[in-house]
Amino acid sequence: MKRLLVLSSLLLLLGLLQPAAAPAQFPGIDKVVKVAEAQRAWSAKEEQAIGQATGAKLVAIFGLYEEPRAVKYVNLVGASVAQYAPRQDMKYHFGILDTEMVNAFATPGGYVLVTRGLLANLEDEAELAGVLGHEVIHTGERHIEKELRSRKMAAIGVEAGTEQIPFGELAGLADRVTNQLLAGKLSRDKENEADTRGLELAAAAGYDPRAFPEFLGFLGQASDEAGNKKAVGNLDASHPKFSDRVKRLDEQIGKRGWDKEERPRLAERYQENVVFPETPAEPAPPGQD
Amino acid sequence: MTVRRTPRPGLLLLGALLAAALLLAQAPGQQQPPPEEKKQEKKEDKPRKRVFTGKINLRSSRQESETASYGFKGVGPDGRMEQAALERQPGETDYIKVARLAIYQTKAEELAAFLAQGNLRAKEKKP
Repeated sequence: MKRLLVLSSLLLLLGLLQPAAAPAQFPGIDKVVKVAEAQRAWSAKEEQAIGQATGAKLVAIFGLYEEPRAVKYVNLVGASVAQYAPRQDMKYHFGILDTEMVNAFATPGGYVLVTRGLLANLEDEAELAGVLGHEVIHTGERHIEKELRSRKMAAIGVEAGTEQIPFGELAGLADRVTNQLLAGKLSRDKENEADTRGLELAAAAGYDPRAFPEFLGFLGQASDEAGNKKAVGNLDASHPKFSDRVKRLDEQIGKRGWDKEERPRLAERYQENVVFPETPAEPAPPGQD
Repeated sequence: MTVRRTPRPGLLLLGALLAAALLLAQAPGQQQPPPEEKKQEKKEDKPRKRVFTGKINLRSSRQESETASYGFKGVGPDGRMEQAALERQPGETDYIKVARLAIYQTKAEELAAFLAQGNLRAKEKKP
């Protein structure tokens, strides 16, 4: 009898914890909705909305570089790599952030943004393909969402009976994602996964996979110079050591036998398309858009 | 005379609350953050194809007439983002620019030509 009573009390309580029942019938326990929401993956629609809001925030900070030839070219290289992405249920979008910082970012929902500073320091298309492959894996595998969830920061407060994320909630999520991208870091496992699987994408598209670790090696050496801290410090602080990444990728290249193959690097095509003919204006101050 | 104790409802509810809290704490997606990653020793990597001599200066995408600090936008001297930049909120124009990114799609024929020109590989479509 005692056991039965305990069991029924427990079942009753668990029933009360269901989000659908909570706010309407038991005012004051609406926090339960948020706890329950935190445990589920973002829907495709939510992923898109959060990705767009994060992209807008990054554009607000850095501005978007919209030189048509360079944008089209980055999209073509991105599409070449993304055709081999394991996740094909969403579209990948590529853009250029107007900052000298050397970095690339992947928001939820398939948005991949590289910086002008990064483009200025790449030697060829194969290096760009390696970078974009890395970012395509980050966004496709929902790395930022998983990272936020592991820190219990992925909860979405959705109003009962609607599928829309309230604007304030969306802006808050975009802030969290942007902070994670610009001032935080992903776990070493996620970065390693993006490196190795991203390299597979670039190699599948036919690019020389040796280009990407070569570029990372260059950045590793450049980051040792004090004068380069402003440009590469953020990337250095948010990723595993360049030398460790290069070592892992070299091992992968050796195991796959890619070091014995001659593949295109396309330096000339890169230099023809990535041009910075004029300096676009700084973005308008907040509130003046 | 032996008195059989009847279960107290208050105690039962307390027990149930504890059990529910334990269940929620163990639910998937609520895992603790991964332990701090072990710092690895700095190790020199083997020589790359690119050969560097002396000081390595990163290239700038800006024109020569512009100052060295121009164009970073909210990045501090150590490469970390300044708080003011992180707090910046997007306006309507920023949302429109991102929407334009989403609308832009590489055409299949353009991609095919681009791959062929670069001697790259198009993914075979499943029949």
